[in-house]
Order: sequence, then structure tokens, then C-alpha cells
Amino acid sequence: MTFETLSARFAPARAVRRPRRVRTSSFSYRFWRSRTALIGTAGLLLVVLGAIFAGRIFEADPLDMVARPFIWPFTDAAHPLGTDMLGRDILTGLVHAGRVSLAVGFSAAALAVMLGVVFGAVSGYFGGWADQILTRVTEVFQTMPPLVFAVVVVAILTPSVGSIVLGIAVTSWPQIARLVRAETLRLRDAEYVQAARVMGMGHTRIILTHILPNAISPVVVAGSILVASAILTEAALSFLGLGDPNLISWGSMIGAGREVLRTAWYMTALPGLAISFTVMALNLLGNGLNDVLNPRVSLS
Amino acid sequence: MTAHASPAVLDVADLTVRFRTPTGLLTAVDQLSFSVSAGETLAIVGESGCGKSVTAMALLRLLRSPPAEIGGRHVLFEGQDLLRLRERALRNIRGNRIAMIFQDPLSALNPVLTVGDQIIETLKRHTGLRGAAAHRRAVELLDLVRIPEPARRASDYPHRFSGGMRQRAMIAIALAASPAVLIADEPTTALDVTVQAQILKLLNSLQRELGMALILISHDLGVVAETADRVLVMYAGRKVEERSVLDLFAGPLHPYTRALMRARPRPEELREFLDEIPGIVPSLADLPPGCAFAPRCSVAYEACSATRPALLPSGDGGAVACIRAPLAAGGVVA
Amino acid sequence: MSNVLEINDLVVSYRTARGHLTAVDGISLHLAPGETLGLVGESGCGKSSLGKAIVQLVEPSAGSIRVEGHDLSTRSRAERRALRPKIQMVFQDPMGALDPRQQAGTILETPLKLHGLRDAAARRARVATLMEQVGLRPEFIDRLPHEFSGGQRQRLGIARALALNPSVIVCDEPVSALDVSLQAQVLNLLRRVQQAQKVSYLFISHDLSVVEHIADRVAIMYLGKIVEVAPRSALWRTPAHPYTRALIEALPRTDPARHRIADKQVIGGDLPSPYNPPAGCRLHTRCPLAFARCAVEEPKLATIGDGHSVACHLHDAAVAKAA
Repeated sequence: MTFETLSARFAPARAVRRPRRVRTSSFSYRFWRSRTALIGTAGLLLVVLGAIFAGRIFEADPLDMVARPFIWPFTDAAHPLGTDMLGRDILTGLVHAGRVSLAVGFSAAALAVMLGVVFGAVSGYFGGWADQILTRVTEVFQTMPPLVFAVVVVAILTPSVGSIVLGIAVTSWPQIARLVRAETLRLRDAEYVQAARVMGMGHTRIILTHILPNAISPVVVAGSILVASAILTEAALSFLGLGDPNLISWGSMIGAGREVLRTAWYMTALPGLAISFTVMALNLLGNGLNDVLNPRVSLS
Repeated sequence: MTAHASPAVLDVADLTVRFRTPTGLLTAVDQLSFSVSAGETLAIVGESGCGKSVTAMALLRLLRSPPAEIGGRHVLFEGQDLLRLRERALRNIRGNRIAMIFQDPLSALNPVLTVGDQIIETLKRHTGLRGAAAHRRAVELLDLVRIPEPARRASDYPHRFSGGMRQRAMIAIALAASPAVLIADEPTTALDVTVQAQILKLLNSLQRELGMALILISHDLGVVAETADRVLVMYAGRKVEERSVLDLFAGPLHPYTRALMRARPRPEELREFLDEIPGIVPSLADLPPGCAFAPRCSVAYEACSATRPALLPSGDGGAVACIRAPLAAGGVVA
Repeated sequence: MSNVLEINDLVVSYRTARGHLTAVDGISLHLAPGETLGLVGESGCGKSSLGKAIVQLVEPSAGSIRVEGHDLSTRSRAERRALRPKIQMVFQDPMGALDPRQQAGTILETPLKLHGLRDAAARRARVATLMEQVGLRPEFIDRLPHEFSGGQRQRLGIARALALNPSVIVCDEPVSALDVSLQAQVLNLLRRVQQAQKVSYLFISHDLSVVEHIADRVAIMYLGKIVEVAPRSALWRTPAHPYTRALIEALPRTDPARHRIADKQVIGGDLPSPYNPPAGCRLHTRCPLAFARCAVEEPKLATIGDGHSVACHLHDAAVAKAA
């Protein structure tokens, strides 16, 4: 631990004159010292900003045919990343597709985290039949491959952004719920939770003020990795033709490029690279946050 | 009983242990010297963080390096300097000639092996006993540590044993190779008081029967007073006082030793308030200059913070590191 | 004056994976205003379960707990909640008892908020008073638990227990995790607090020497039962129960001229499993003085002197005389 800060605080005269103390354990202090988290954030920021300003930078509709088809990347300054088999600009497509991929990724992860936190906390804290049900449900989900399950959900509800988000969230909330449940089980017998009960605090308030704030670190980490896997799932669904037909996503671009893979591999490779880059950034952020939020890891 | 009559089995000179940390080099044990003879019990006593457990680990070089750096003049044992011995040679001494028991016997025992098998393991490793002979010896050892029905209990797994029984089993494993020195690091801290007395009594009688040297590391002055022949008091990595147990408890010379005794509740002598030691143990990264205890000491004056007090003979075969020692002993303090 | 806490025939039992466990088996105790009752026993004797039942952390299976005359078992949920502030608790592990993400000020303010102190300025003033009372400097208010030393954390825990002006504080091994020098600081603080505001303590500990120091009366527990209760000096000078004598004998003393481990009379054996306690007197498997009757008939707690009760067949004659 921080021998220095401790001793400085207890040395009488000196501590008084000390300037504003820096809390070396604070989130921001540690975050700025984690290279992994910073690189991940920078990469993600790049993608997110691109997606946000896609409409401003590339005003054209990505589905418009703007040039002749099969222009290879870096051969035409007007279309730096070339065009596809229908003459649509690939760079414009990538940026606009990023909007859909990120939106699906973040909403699916958010929905999964919300469901997972509520069910995990309730079943972990109260135990009993609520816990029995959750455990059974998660076991059911564990026996099914998530992609297949998502395919089924999307196919039943007809493909749209909403059904894709729902399909992904429904298959991934149990893992968050299990995580939150385990953390809650660990925390519910902590002496500070007992102390809260002794002073007469209600269960809901205990969960909100003592359990969740202390259980949230691994959830944040799992959540950021969940965004990455949701983007991958969305890509897989689009690739299988279960994407929203009115929108262009990285997955649907790969799906479209697949037919000309031999002659024009760049049509598949470029959206593939975009996915890899985003997923990598999210994973780096997740791993970085894991270090940042775990006080036992020293960040030098 | 007198320590200095018989030659030392283990002689430690200027043992120093430093830890490399992100915030700098911390000296956990600072030029510590002591020796222990056959049949003698030396207690090392101090509060948490004083370096007593680090000392025990450093003797057998059990600290991971880095971050630990172990140095010193020598740690002499049976003609060999443990500080300079190769790791392979040291392995033949660990658990064999010098054995160790710890505070938490459950984590020191392997949960998937029976207690008997764990003793046999040690016997194979260090004595070459095998098969039926090893099994017989294992049962003998369990009997030696007063485990009832030793033949039956040998085939039990550690979780079937109570806390006291586990510590007995640990002692049996430690004694398997008839060590010359047994290091016991807080061996009874996790145990209930009646079981603690049983284990201490057992250690005491085994030590007599087997003529071992015993190094007992403890935070509990009561345990030390009842068990040790000689006591070494540590504070912030340094030896502040070393005396025979009778001399120490009859008249502690170092103000820290004295303060520790006065802070302890004593049912024989009830007081409304205990004597507090103000402040907290200093951080190793930021030790005060001079005497490390000076900022908390009731008799300290300027000179105490200026230079580090040397360890001086106390006239009764002991030693004390305090320039105010005679004053403290004279009772002017109270 | 009437007792602030009265416990009658309290039973606390748990259903566990290993079977039915009766941790507290028919215990009666009382606590007068401003008094400290020490509760001593070895691990597994049920002393912590008793403490938890008193602060309503576990539900008793039978018996009654009266807080300032109000019987908890006959009250509604809301009424019981209203009685919670009367009995507060100080925990063993000073770090574990504080939420690592809450600042000292928040920790002390929470109970005030919960029990209707709506005025923020009044809360701040109360927090400042509490901190001063336990010897924490006002500038520590925004510190997180890990930024305190062990002793300071326990001071914070004591301040939190005091926040609601309780009439009883259950102290569950409050100094066991602390070094001797910090132990003295915390014990002195508890005593000063008691002198200042007449709070009663139920002081639970495995360490008889600490309890002898702080308590007015001492109760000794063994496997879910009280075996002896006495004023502290009577307990120390004239212990009546063989188990009390064993505890006193086993206590390490700092007088090597008179007490050496080699000369000690040590009680043998281990604590029997609390899942399956021995019949008759629960100590009879370890008691050096046990006779035939001890194995079949359970001794009742009976008065043998002024405030001195014992549950042991050896004292039947003394009991008859006292009665």
C-alpha cells in the first residue's frame, strides 16, 4: 500500500502544510496511469466520433451509387477506399455502418447489463426461490450457443435493429446476472452490510448504496467486453442475412462482399478491419478498466 | 537454562531484509543479530509490521526475491552460512534440519492428502524411510504430538481435524526429520486459549525431549513470558531489547517494551484506563531519524531523534538500544 | 432502575448443510443502564450468534429479547425497526465493517438520515461532534476507510454506533484484530464514552483478560450455554465452574517467575462439535472433575452468591445453602 501517503498524513506538523492531497486510489488518477485503458479509450473514441459525425463528413447516402463499381482502394482520390460492386463509396459505407454496429453493440450491452444487474442483485441478495429460478434460467442459456439463440429470436421477430438488440441482450444478460449474483453473495454478509441493517436500513437501500457500488467494477469490465461481443454478433447476424435490410452495418458489408471475395477481397477486408479495430479497442478498454478498478494491481 | 553456556546452533549476524517497492527501498529487518542454542527457546516479539515474521522467512530464504533482498554478515548453522548457500543445498536444510510451523495450519496442509501421507512424504524426502517403516514412523510422530488414536487418524484428511489437531499434525510433519531448530511463527494465534495452552505445552515438552532449539515468533507477551528462555523485542525492523525472560519481565529496560507491558490488560491488577502508546507504528518508508520509537516515547528528548541508539549490554547478559534506558528502568517514567 | 436489555430463554438455531445447529441454547441475561457485561467463550460457543440476535441480525427460534421493556418478539416489523437505534453494534474487523467506497462523513451521516434528521446543517454538526468524541480530527471527514489506520477505523466504527444515541452497544470482539498498543487506545475510548453518556455494553470476546478489564460482570459461555455469571472480581478470584477455572489457568500471564507453561494445568481435549453437543453437562467430556451424574443430567444455572451463578453439579450444596 501507500506507505508514503500514510506516513505523511500522520507526521504532525508536515501534514498540515501539504498541498491538496492527490488520492492515488481514485479512479481518474489510476485511469490516466493505465496505458491499456488509455489506448482502448482513444481507439474507441475515434470510432465513436466517426460514427457520430458520419452524416456531416460524408453527406452522401451510403447506399447511393456514386462511381463506377470495383474501384480498388488508394487508386482514386475521390474514393480513397474504393467502391463496391454496385459503385457505392466504401469509406462512406464504413463510417455510416459504424453507427449501426456501435448503436446495436451499446444498446444490446446496456440492456443486458440492466437485466443482469437487477436479476443478479435480487437473486444474490435474497436467495430462496428467486435465486433458484435465476440459476435454472442461466443454466438453460448456458446449454444453448448464444448465436443460434439470437438467430432464432431475430428470425421470429423479423430482422430489425430492435429485434437484433433484443436477441443479443436476451442471450447475454445471464452472464452479467451470474457475475452480479456472485458479487452480491460475497457482499451481502460483509460487516458493513450488517452494520447498515443494524442501523435499520431497508433492503432496497442496502442494495443500492452498499452492494451495487461495490459490485459494479467487474460489471463495468464485463459490460465493455459485452459491447465488443455484441458488435461481433450483430456482424454475424448481418452476414447470415438477418441484418436490418434498410440499414448498412459492417456485418452486412462483409456479407455483400463475400460473393466477390476472390476478385475484390478488399470489400470484405475493410469492414472486417473496422470490426477488429473496434473490438480490440473495447477489449483493451475492458482489460484496462479491470486493472484500474482493481486496487491490488499496481500501475507503474 | 542459561543460553550462553552451550554453543549456538544458529547464529545470525546483521541480518538485513529489504523490499524493493514502487515507492522505494523498505528496510523490513535492519541488522538483526541473535543466536539460539540447543534446548533453548528464543522468542521474537513485536507488533504487526515489526519484521518478526520476515525474519523467520529470511532465515530459510523463503522470501521471493525480487522484491526481497536478503543480506547480512552471516546466518551460521551447523558450520554452513545459509546466506551464501546454494538453493539446492538449502533445500536439504529446510524442513529437515530447520523446520517451520505457521499460524494457519489448514493452509499449510495439503487438503487432498491424508495427514499420514503428508508425514510420510516428509520422511521420504529427508530420511529415506519408505513403505511400512515410514508409515510406522508417521503413526509414532502423531502419537508424539498427542493425537489420540494415531493409527486411525493417520488416514484422515486435514479437514477432519480440529484447529488444534491440525497444528499438532503440522508439528508432527515439522518433527519428522528430527530438526535441530524449529521456527514457530505465531503457532497459536488462530487457536482458542485452552487449545493454545495445549499446543504451547506440547511444544515446550517436545523441545525438552528432543533437545531442539525453538524460535517462537509471537505478538503476545503472555505467551512469550510463559514459554521463552530469552526474549528479543523488535520495533520497526530493529532489535530494541534482548534479555532473559526473567530479567525482561522483572524490569524492562527499553521504553517500548515497558509501554507494551503497560498497554496490556492485566486481570491481576485492574486499572480504570490502560496506558496507551500514542500514535501508530511508523511506516518503514519514512522512519524517523534516530530512534524509531522516539516520536511515541514518553521519555524521549532531542538527542533521541538525532542519532540511532546503539545496542549496548544491559549488564545482565542482555542488550538494549536506548540512550535513556537507565532512566526508564529507574521508574522515573511512570 | 430497570434493565435496558433483558433476554429470556433465548434460542438461536440454524439449519445448515451439515445439519441442525443450536448456537444459543436457552440463555437468559440482563443488562443494567451504564453497565458492561462481558461475554466470554471460545470459537463456536455461540457468543456471536447471541450478539447478532440482540441486534436483530438473526431471528431467534425461541425466547424473548426486551429492549427498554419492549419485547421484540411481539412487535410488528415497523415497531422493531423503530427499536433498532436503541441497540447498536461495533464489529470485529474495523476494515470489513466500513464500506470501502464511503467517506467517513457519509458513514456517520447515514444513520442520522435514516432516522429522520432531515436538517443537513444539524447532521453536519452531529457528525463533527461524533468525530470529536472518538478522537478523529475534523479534516478526516472526507477520507475513505483504507486511508485510516486500524485503530482509527475502529474509532469510526464506534462513532457510527454512537450516532443514534443507543442505550446498548453490542461490541463483538472489537479489539481482537488490533495490536496491543491500539487495543489499549480503543478500550480506553470505550470506557470514556461510557463515562460520558451512560451507554451499556455487551462486550463479546474470546479474551478473558480484555473482558476482565472492561466489564463489570462477566458471563462465560460454553457450547451455547452460560456456565457462569459473576461480578468480574468474583469471577477472577473465586471462579466456580471448572471451565472458568480452565480459561483462567490457560490465560497467558506476563509473570515468568510464577507462571511457566511447563507447570500449567491445561484442560485436555477439543471443543466437541456444536452440531452434536454432549448430553448432560456439555463440559463433561473435558472436565477433570466430572462424575457419573454429569454425563446424564444437565446442571441448571443457580445462584451461589451475590450476583454469582454457576451451572455445575459440584455446587449443588452451595446452591441449597444460598436458597
